[in-house]
Formats: sequence, structure tokens, C-alpha cells
Amino acid sequence: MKSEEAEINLEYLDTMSGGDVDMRNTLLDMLIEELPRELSILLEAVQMGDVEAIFQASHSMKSTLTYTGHTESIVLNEQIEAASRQGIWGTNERASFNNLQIKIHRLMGALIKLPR
Amino acid sequence: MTRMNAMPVREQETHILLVEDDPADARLIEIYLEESGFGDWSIDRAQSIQEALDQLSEQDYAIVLLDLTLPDGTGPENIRRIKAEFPDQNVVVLTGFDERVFGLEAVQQGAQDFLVKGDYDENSLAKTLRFSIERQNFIRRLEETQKIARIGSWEFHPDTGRLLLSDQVLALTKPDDSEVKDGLPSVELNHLLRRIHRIALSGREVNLDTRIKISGNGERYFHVQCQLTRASNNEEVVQGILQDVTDRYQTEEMRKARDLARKSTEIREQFIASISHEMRTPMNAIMGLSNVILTSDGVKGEQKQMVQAIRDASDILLGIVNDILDFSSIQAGKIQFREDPFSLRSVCRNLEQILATKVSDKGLFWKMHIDDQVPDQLIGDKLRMSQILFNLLGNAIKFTESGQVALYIELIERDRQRVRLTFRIEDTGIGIPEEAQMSIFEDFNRVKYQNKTYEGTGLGLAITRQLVELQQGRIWLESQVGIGTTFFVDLGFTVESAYKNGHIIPDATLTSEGAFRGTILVVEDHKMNQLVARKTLERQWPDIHILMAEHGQIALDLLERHHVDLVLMDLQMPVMDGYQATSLIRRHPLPRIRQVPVLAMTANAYVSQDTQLHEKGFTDFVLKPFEPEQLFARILQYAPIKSISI
Repeated sequence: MKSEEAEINLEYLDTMSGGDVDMRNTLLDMLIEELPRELSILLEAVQMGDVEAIFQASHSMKSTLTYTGHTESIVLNEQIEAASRQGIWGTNERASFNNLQIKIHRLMGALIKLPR
Repeated sequence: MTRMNAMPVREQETHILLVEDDPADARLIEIYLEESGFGDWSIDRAQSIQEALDQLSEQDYAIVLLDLTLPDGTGPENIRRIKAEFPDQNVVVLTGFDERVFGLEAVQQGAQDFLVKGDYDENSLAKTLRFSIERQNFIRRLEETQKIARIGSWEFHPDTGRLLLSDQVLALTKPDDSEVKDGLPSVELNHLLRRIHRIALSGREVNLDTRIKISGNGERYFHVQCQLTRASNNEEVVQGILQDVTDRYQTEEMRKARDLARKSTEIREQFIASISHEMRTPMNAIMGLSNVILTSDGVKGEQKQMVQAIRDASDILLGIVNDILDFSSIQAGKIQFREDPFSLRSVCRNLEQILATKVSDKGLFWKMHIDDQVPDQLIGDKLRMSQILFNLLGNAIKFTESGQVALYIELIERDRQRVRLTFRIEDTGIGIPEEAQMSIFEDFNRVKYQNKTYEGTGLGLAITRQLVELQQGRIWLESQVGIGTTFFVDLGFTVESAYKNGHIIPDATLTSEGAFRGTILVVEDHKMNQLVARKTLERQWPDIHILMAEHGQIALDLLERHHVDLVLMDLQMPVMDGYQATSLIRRHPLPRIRQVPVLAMTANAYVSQDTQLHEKGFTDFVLKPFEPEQLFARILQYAPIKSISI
């Protein structure tokens, strides 16, 4: 299993922080708060089978994931977003979602460990 | 009246009214209460029903402990008198050992419980009082909840014919307060209850929606449920609830009516569009063949005049059919604007040629002037632009009997990618009275002058206004009766050099350097993006003023309350998305809002799908994730010049 810590790329987050340490830490805190919240919204939408809600949730999560620079999660989420945008929700999308859940779970563990 | 306090009065103490004429029995109650550890309490004592009623009208009591044998009343009559004046009062009845049957009857009359003298001790007294208070509180809460939910309940005892209605049933079905107090159902409700009780008594459950007329208040809709049950004494009881669902019903009815109206409109529009389209083909044939006949050598004299009349009439008819077609397309939101390169001067010359005959037939002077600063090669919908000018110039010619009709085109705004032009159509015609100017752009408005109604559908100017506004333009007029009219049209176009392969290409010479002191409205629902947008802009321009909106609806509210120089608009948002918000901005009655630059914030992946952003009212776009330099450059490019100082 790859270390998710190694997969995190905070280049965008750092650029947006503009060298402001407080801003960087605020963004990291927001990431840790927002990601599980957004994942639970996505999960609920998936459980309800509400494809429009899945699209809204994955679209919102896209912005959040951008700050992690975690390519695998970003790609999985993009697959979910692109499919649900067209009203598609099938076996492949369910598999992507399961995978994304696992990735985000590990990603959260890695984010919490990041030095401040 | 005497008052006996067990301990100093505190806010939480229980006020008890003891209605007891026997001092020994009254003292016993106090002793039991002291020994029971009932908590903080105080007792006021009354020795008759009348004294108790006087006390109750002056003070609130948590409990009335009511003896059933008093000098001015005996038996269940005592509770009836109390309940008649204070129906919500919590009452516990005290009966003699031989009068326990009265206790049961008192409970049926509304007492919470009864205690048999000589048969209770300190513990059972305290327990009965506590339970009665709790039950009373629970009933109050239940009543409050029913009030909020607009639910009322009732019981019907078929053996005795007794009908017990909750206050809420009366309040909902008899809103006049004076009537509510009589405790009787309205004639309408009584009729309904008789009907549904018959059904319930046959063993069937009643579950229906119905309406009840309420005198002086129209009619209201109720959901009614009731069923036959058995009380603890095995007596049959019909229990029911009714809920006022008028608001829900009306909303549902309105939704149905709206859907029906929408559907009817759609069908009508489809029908008009289809008929108009079908009419256009034969009309073209009539016109074309009339022209063929007119140009043939064999037709002369009166015959020629008649064919000429057929052609002129067909011309008018075709114009009407085209108006109706355009109008129905606009109404159905199906009109599309093209983004093609064209030569402005060439389009105007064509127009000049088309109108030349009409101008010369009326002996009018014609003038056209396009300012040298106006670029010739533009991107836009040349057909729609021609249609706008043709309608306005056609009207100008129609309403001018002598003098001049002129078209002027001037540049009012220019940056590297866009120009904004004013088209001025002037005539020396009959003019439009001031009171008619307000409604001149309305649908089916036909100008009347000196009791003469001019030909046409009355749709021409309405269509023109829609065509202008759907392209984020503006149209207005100035006119004086007897002097003439000038119509002004502001329209924006992309300069051809800024376009490549259907995409707007970022101008390499654009710079992100420059000071900005204006107000930016960021419309973004994502919290992290909100923070990043704010910090990024504030770092670049410390004097910037930023307004933040979580969705389009809030953005529109903020735009109305603040002067905003530029809007950064996310596309996917809850409540109101960026497309809808921008469309509403472009149709806003206030020019400062209608004309504000709106930059879409869109992800790379969607840029290709969003090439129609201009048509949807966006000025341009910035990419997400944010690229700060591009963001700054775009803001400087589109924010009004007055707020930039380099």
C-alpha cells in the first residue's frame, strides 16, 4: 500500500496561502473539516441513488480535493462527477465511489499528521 | 381567605388552591404536604365555590384541590362550575368515602384525578398532585403542538350522544371568537361529523380530505381521520382528528394551475410556430410569383396594378408571419444568437439598399454615418442586428411623411476584445406622445395617431427590445410630437481579432499589474474557495472591497444594495446557479446591475462546454483552480476604467 502522505501535493494550497503560515494552517484545518463532511453528503446521495445530488456533492468535493493535490482521489471524483453530470450512475461509478471512500479515509489520516 | 406558607415563596413553588370548608380536613392536607417532601408550595384556601371562583379570577394556581361537599354546592356540580369558567384549570377532587362515585364522575367532567378522604396518605397525596401537574403540562404542550400543526381532535360517545370537541376544532372551523366560546360545532361541521360518525360506527376507518364553509371566512380544506375505539369501561367511542390543510391544498392547486398554464402556453406556442412556419412557404410562393408576373411583358395597366396590390399585401402578411414566428421563439426561450464574423459596414450598406425604395417612394432624405473609430470586422449575430435596425428604420420611414431618416453608429466603449456601439435611428416623423413612450416596447402595442391605427402586429418593437436585451444590450428613445423620434440601441460585439477557433483567447499583452480600488462580488458556495478568493484579491489589492455571496440569489440581493464593479460567478451552486443569476442580472431593470461585468469561474474540464458563456450573459471566464495572475488580469481588463489607477 502506498503512503497517502507521499501522494499529497500541497503546491496549490501553498500558492494560494501566498507564504502566509496562518492562512496555510487555516486551509489545512478547513480541509480536515470539509472533506469528511462532503464525503458524508456524497455517501448519502449515493445511498439515495439521487444522481443529481451525487453530481452536486462531487462537484463541491472537486474544489476541496484540489487543495490536497491527491491525484488519485481527484481523478476518481472527476469520474464520478463526469458520469453523474450526464445522469449516469452504474457499476463503474459505484466502484469509483467505493475506491474514493477508501482513498479519502487514508488521505484524512495523512492530512491530520501533517506538521503545522 | 387564608394563606399558609410552608416556606418562603420562591419562583418554583407550586401554588395550590384548597377549596375546603372543613378546617380539620384542610389542616390534614397541609400536614401531609409538609411530611411528603412535595417541594416548595403555598396554599390559598377558599371555603366555597364562589370564593374559589373569585380566587381563580385573581391568581393562577397549579392545582385546585376541590372538596365536593361545600356550603354552596355539592357533588360533580362543583367541578362543572369551576370548569365552566376555567376550562384549562388543573383540578383534583376530594370526596368522602361514601361519595367515591362522585369522584369518577368528576374525572369525566374534566378533573385530573380524585382522592378519597381517609383513604390517602402523604405519599399518595404528593404523587397525585405531581401526576396531575405533569398531565396538565403534557396536555398544554399537546394543545400547543396541535395549534401549530392546525390539528383539532374530538370524541363522540354514541351511547350518550355526547360530543367533546377540542378548542382547536372550534378555532379552526369557527374562527369568530364569540362563536368559539359556545363550545358547539358549526352547522357545517355538525353535518360533516354526523356523516363520518355513521361511517366510523359501521366499523370503517374514515380518512378523507374535505372542505368546510366558514361563515365570513370563505371555505377551508381539512384532512379528517376518525375511527371507532373502546374506552377503558368498554364504552364505544369515536375518536377523530381534523387538520387544516388549506395552505398545502392551495399550493398544490396553484402548482397544478401553473403546470397547466405552462403546458397550454407551450402547446399554443408550438401551434403558432408551426402554423406560422407553414404559412411562410405559400406566402413566399405568392410573392415570388407576383414578382414574376410583374416583370413579364404581358401584364399591363389595371392587371399590373392588381398584381402589384397582391404583392404588397403579401409583403405585409409575410412581415406579420415573421413577427409572430420571432415572437413565439423569444417567448419560448428558443432564440439563439450566432457568433460569426461579419463586416458592419457591409451589413449597413445592404440595409441601405433594401430600404432605398421605401425612402425614395415617400420622398424622404436618407443619411447614414458610421464613426471612423468603429471597427468594421466584428463577431456577433449579423442577421439579428440587421433585424433590429430594419425594424427601427422601417418604423422611422413608416411614421415620417417628410424630412429625413438617418442611421448613426458610434463607439462608446472599447477594450482589446470587446466593443460597445450605439446605433442612433433618427426621424423627423410624427413623434410619440410622452404617455405612449412608456408602453411603446410592450407586446401587441400599436401606435395610434390622430385616430389612425398603423398597420402591423404591434410586435415589431417588442421583438426589437427582446432581441437587444437578450444580447445584453439596451434600447431607449427620445421623441417629441410633430418634431420626430430618435431610438438608441447599445450593443456589444467581440472584435474579430480576439477570436480563434470559437474560443476567446487570452490576450498575451494583458497585464495583472495595476491598482484596483473597486468592489468585487464573489459568488461562490465553496468555503475554501471563498477564503482563497478573498485572501488572494486582498493580497494583490489591499484597498479592494469584497462582497461574498453563497449563491446567485444572495448575489442579486447584494447587487441591489451595493455598487459592484465586477462579479466573479461560480457556475454550479445551490439555490440559484451562476447561469440563472447571470441571466437575471442581464435582465435587471437597473442599468448599473444589468451592465456589470460578470466573469464565470469555471474548471478547465468544462471550458470547452462553456464556449457559449457569452450568449448566456457572461462577459468572460476565469479558470478554476484559480490562477492568480490570470484572475488579476481579467479583473483589470473588465472592471470599469474609473476604478483602476495604474
